[in-house]
Amino acid sequence: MKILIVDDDPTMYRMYQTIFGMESFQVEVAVDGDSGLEKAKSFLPDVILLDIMMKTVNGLEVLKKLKADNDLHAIPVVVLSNVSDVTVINEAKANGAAQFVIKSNTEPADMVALVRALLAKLRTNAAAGGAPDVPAEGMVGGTPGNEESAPASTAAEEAPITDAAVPEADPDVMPQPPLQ
Amino acid sequence: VQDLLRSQLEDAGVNVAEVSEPVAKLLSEVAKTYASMQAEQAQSQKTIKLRSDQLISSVGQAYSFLDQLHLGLVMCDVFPQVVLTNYAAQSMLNGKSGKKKSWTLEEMSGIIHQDWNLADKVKTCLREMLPMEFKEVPCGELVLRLFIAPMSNKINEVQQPIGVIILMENITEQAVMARSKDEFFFIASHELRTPLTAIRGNSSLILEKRDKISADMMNGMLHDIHNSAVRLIDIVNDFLDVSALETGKIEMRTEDFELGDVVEEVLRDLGSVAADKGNKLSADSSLAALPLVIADRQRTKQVIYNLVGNALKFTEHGQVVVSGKSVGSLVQCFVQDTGQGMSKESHRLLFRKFQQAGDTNLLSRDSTRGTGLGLYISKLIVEQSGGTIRLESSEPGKGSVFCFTLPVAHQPG
Repeated sequence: MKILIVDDDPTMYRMYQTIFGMESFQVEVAVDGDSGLEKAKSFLPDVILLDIMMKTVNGLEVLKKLKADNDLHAIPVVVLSNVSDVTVINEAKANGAAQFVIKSNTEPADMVALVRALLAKLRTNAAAGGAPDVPAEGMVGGTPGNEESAPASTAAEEAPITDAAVPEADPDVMPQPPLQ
Repeated sequence: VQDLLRSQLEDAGVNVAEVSEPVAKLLSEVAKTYASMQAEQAQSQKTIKLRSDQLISSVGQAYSFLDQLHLGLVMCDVFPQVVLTNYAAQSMLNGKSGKKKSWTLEEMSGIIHQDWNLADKVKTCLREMLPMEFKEVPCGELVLRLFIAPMSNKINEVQQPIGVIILMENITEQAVMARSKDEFFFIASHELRTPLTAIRGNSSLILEKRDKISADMMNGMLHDIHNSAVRLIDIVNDFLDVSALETGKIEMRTEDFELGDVVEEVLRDLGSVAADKGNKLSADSSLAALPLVIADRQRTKQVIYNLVGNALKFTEHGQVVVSGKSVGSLVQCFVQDTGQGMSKESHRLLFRKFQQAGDTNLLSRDSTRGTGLGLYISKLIVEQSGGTIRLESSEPGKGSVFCFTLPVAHQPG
């Protein structure tokens, strides 16, 4: 399974590189938006983890370019950020993000579970004849603007793909809900 | 009058001597009446003059009062034509350089935001005789709060419209402040969350997958945890510094010292940061010739650290030079870089709290730049030390020069 991590913060991409590497993913890292687009084309990952706040070309701009590219638009993109502004989240969803994850509220193991669940869901859809590239809505890691008081279940209930896609039989996946 | 009457009677063939007594009586009465009329007229003229002077003085006072107001005031008649524009309104409409003193409503509409027609609003107010308030109206570089109210007068027992008054409040500062405060919290929450994510994520990985982690990996993860903690402490220290400096709770421990020594310490601390980006970092020989300054040494180091740190952030494969100059009772310290420089619009916002010059798109910012409080903190420190701080010059693509001053230490004797 190939994953491309696009993030300009070394502490962030190293952490995701470590966990996905441990979980036997083939990992590639891009440290800015432009190289993210280049690596998406050369590496052709199964899934992309895309940071939002990046110098020069930000994550939303990268997302728009990915979705406008015929060769890349079917790759599911999990947008992950420490920005929890509702307009940013909505814009990411409107531009085809499969999921929006707030980094600080999500454990690395849950990130892996979430990505596996997403890929499983897309595989199921594809097998059932559905379009694999249809963007799914979902927000993990809290309700924007009110993270502290929001019950953990709220975000999960509003995130159909997260609920539906968790393969219950897989012992490696989702030992706990993504939101603490 | 008596002489005139006498000659008239004689002309008419009347024997004046015969009628002299009754005529004289009559004439005396006439003369008295005339004198009293003259006295009354003089009194009336005096009163009119007094009242006119009083009125002129009141109008003068009213105009001068209106010109002293910080609120812009424009008065229109029923047609509606502008009849009065006070000084504050003139300043708001003129912007920085204009000297115009009167405008038509249409001209005013042209100055205020293009999608917002003042003349139409005034006509509506006059028609409906109801006050209107507009909370944020752009006007050139300013943001105004406008209040448009009808004026009326009771004529023949009926309330009649006599015009409209427009009050203009300049709320640019508050509007900019509110916006940059929102942006600051947006950035600050992101800046705080990122190191916390690294600490949480790496520690949880270590706890859960210790057996699968090699020594090298462990080393890297522990470094990331440590660096993230340092990053968090820096951010929190910035917040605490701002709060303490603003409320005057930081005690400035003043002492006499050589600025050049402090510069050398900062350059040593930041040497590796400069080298990482291919920058040449140096202290000019002018620093050695400076007289001693009097200030808080540690806080001065913080200012130089901020300025040099900023210069290095925005410079790649270039130069950062710190130099000094003694001018009267002050020492000037310059931090010059050959980095990316700044546009003119960014200059005036530079030392403001919560401001990061040039952040037109918050999502495209360099997340390594921190909270943007550094220059504001430097300004507070320098000002509390009896100096000033400013951007000397800056040009996009060519670099910037920052300058701060500190007082020269008292010479013994």
